[in-house]
Amino acid sequence: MAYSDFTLDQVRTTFGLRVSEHSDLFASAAELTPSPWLVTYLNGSVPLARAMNTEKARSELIIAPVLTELRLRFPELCSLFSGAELNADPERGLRGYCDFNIAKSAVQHLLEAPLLLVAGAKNSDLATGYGQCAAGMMGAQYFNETRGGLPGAIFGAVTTGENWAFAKLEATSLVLDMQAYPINRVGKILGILRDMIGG
Amino acid sequence: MAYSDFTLESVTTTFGLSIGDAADLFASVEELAPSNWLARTLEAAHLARAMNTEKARSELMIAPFFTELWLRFRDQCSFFSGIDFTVDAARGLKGFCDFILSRSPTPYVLSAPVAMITESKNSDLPSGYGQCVAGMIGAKIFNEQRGSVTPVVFGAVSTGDLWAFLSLNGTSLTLDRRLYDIHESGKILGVLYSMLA
Repeated sequence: MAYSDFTLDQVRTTFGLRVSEHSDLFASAAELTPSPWLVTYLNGSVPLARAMNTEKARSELIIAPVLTELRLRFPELCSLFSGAELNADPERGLRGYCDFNIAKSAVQHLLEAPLLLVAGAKNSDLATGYGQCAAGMMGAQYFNETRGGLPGAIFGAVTTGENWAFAKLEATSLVLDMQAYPINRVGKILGILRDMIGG
Repeated sequence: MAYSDFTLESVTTTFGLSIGDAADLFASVEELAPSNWLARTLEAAHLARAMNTEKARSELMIAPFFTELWLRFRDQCSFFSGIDFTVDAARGLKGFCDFILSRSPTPYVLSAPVAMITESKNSDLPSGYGQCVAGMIGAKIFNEQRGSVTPVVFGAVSTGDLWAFLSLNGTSLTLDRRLYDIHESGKILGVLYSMLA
């Protein structure tokens, strides 16, 4: 058992989570204007990733650039990890690789608590990504607790690059945001990410 | 059996390739100055080096070169990342390819592959040669099946920091002894662009 094996229902029953929905979880997040670099990047790469239509291309051409922008703009507030192994609690299946993580730490050479965001890439159909994402969020929560990180909310994102959906885990309460943000609202997506890292 | 299962030894034996090397295969190729966009993108390469995962290196160090080519020369080329490239399953020419550079401008459907690019595992360049050459043979056969003559198919193996190039002319495989460092981005870009000629 690893993160990628979990469905949302399995995460709920295995870890006793209460799952609820919010109509607009990040309504108050102010937009963050993307840099000219990111705008140039996405103008070319979004249609290209859509054409190739693979999860790998979507990660390389859309998701990684957006998250890299966050790290480049707030290097003192967050670190970015891509494809890192997070073996938080292997016995309970909280193990495996995460597509992307963001930690509240300036250190880029190793994962440090507290982890703030677990993001999962999908080639299509965001809904099927919630189980793996929620399991990753549980792993991040456990990682933070056992590493002495301050207890706080863990965020999750499920994304095709073209479309982003968010979730929030506090203690045993998992809140799914009913909003989904298309990449042409990248300013809002960046604003939400900035709020998560406290920028 | 798939592309990723081949070693350099097994691929040359299976397909009857002769193998040689060259001191500087692309000595005559001119540099192509990176755009401001690529220069800025590669400034983030240190992040991938710190993360030290193949995935991060692919995203922050390798893919940007192909995006740059596409942004600047999209009427001459396209590329494909992570597609299934099954050409001859019975002979092991099947599986996913890290990157394929194509002479065709459409990124929707692969046609006219000219170069196969393999991300090397664990920053170990030679470990990627077998997979890369198998992909090059796949590209050669793919083109032949469609009646297009591509005398030479190119290949590259990259750790992100280092690039090694190869060429396949008929059954003659040449490995370039000269390696390129990511700081020579203009030369790497020039070599990749020259493959489209």
